[in-house]
Amino acid sequence: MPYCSRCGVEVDAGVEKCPLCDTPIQKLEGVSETRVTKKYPDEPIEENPVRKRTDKEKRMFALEIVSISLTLPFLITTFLDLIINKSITWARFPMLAFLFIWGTTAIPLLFPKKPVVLVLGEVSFVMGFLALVDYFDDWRLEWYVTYALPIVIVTILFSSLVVLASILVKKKGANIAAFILFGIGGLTFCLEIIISRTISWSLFVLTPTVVIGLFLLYLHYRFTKDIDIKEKLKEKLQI
Amino acid sequence: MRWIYLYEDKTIRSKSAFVIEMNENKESFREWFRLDNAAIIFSLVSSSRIPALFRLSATLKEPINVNLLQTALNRTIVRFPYFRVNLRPGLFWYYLRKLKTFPRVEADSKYPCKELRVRKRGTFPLRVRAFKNRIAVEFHHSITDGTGGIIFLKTLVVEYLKLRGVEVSKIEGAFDISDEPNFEEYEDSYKKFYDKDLPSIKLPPKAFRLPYKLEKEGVYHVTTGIIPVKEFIKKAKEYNVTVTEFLVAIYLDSLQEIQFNLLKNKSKRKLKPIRVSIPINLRRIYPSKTMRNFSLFVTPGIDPRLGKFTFNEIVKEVYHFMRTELNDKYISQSIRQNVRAELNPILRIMPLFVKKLFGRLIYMSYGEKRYSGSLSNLGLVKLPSEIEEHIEDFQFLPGTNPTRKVSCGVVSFKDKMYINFGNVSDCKELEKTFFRKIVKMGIPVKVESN
Repeated sequence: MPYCSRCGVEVDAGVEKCPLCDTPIQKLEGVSETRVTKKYPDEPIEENPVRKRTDKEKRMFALEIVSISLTLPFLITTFLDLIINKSITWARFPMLAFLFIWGTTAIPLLFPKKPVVLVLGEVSFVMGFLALVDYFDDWRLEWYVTYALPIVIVTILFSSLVVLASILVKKKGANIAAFILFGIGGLTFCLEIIISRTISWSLFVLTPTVVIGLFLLYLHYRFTKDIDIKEKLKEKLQI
Repeated sequence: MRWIYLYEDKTIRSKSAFVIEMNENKESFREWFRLDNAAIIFSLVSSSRIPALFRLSATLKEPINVNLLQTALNRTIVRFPYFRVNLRPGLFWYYLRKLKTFPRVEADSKYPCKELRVRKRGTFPLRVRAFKNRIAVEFHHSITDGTGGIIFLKTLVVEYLKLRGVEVSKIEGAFDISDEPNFEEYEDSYKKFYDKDLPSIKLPPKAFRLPYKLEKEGVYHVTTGIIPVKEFIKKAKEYNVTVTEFLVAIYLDSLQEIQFNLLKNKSKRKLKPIRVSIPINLRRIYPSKTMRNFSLFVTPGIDPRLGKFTFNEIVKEVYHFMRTELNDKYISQSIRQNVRAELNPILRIMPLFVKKLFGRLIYMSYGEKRYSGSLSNLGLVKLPSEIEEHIEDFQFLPGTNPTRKVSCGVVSFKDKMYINFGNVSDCKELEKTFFRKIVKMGIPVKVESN
């Protein structure tokens, strides 16, 4: 029987490398080649793959469920109102809300990988919803123009900027936290201008967010080495 | 009749033990039954990364006839109704539901102990595989431990050999399939020997763990060392310890060597205690005939922060630790610790999905991170000599997980001891160190791998 010269352990005839240290096993000359007796099959067996729905099938299924589960309360509220009041009165608000929920969930399900369509679609749904709520109240637009519209625009603007910046930077880490802080600071600043048309308390938010954000940027670009966050997370969560 | 017998026999036992036994008795007739204490944690954490499987195999002298093996399996599984089950989710816990179907004999794989989707409807928590001369059974830990598994495998092998025409007069060590399953085999012995009045145990600190990189999911490297039992026992006798104690000492010594090599130029403070978990078959300590889980761990270890231990010191440490801890008083305390957690009212009312979320976290931080490895010795497998002459070897592959990375399973058959390392990392340093140490002692080792 052949031996590994480093480990001193015996191995099966015909084995090329030591199973422990990978040292090649010397072949004795003159001894005829013996057939290798494998202890395990050469190929791993894969479990029978479970038939999985494709992504599109899953999305369409989700859309179906959302649509049906929203149609039921929609119809119930509508008919209740019709029975009690003989016309659509208070039911217009829940109806609007159900339409809004349906629209905001349907868009990402229908256009999953088109960020521009997704953002524009969602924004128009939010704006339309708010405008209609304002209009349904007493059949004219009041707070929508002065508050709702500017707040929505500012929020979209800052969140898109944060997301864009986070996507564009190469090394991700503390800098993302900094971008989020900048976003929060800028948003509160603009909100105060929109709501009370002055600048006072928002400075207390803006100053620390900007300072801490800058500090985080400094930390990030000065000290962090290349750490693969994905790998690190995998290691920590063991997935 | 059985009830009356039960009542008369068990009068000395406490009332609660009696009630449990009545329930167990009922369970053997019922279509479903509860998981035992150890099975619960495995039912919660079982995943592709933590398959919670262990494997027992027997190599015969001739190639396996799969049809005969299937017939033998169909006959055998009827005698083991508690294995002919499916893990089902309840509202609060998983439970086992009896199946009417039979498990199929499957082909073997290069990498054993790959995830078994136990939670899938109709899946058996065991997998019978055939390759060349070998019958292998992979058990999910939710149904049994090594002792229960080896009895099943022995019964299956005996049944197969009978079909092959081997004359068997009296079966020792395996079950006779013509017997009725005994209700005591269903028993959750942890609950039976639970004494709620014992004090709790303090958890040990975190232990050293092998830092190697994990392989892809499903990859499981096997390294088998085959050692003549006699020479090994002789060597162990020189140190005046048992085989298990001697193996544990070598294991600890190897882990110590690895840890010191890893930290060559770093300070001693980075060192961590080394502790290995050694499963103990509690059927030897308590009167129990259960075929389900009934084992617990003792955890001998050394603390290299105090300095490098010599081999003699490690042997002494292990010897004294094992002799002290293998006492029914300490074991009762461990049982109490585990069962109490299960009986905790807050935990009990948590829905299953919440338990599943926390189960893994608790298993990793409270269980696994406190051990550097595990070594499980099933001891000598014995069968009647007319059967033994048809069998080449018995082997035991332990289950492992990404925290522990390497586990060791030992079983002896005839004059050989089979030491199997299951490894899910890409480095075989521990196996190498371990077997080289045995070779250095002058004991010949033959090594195989997949």
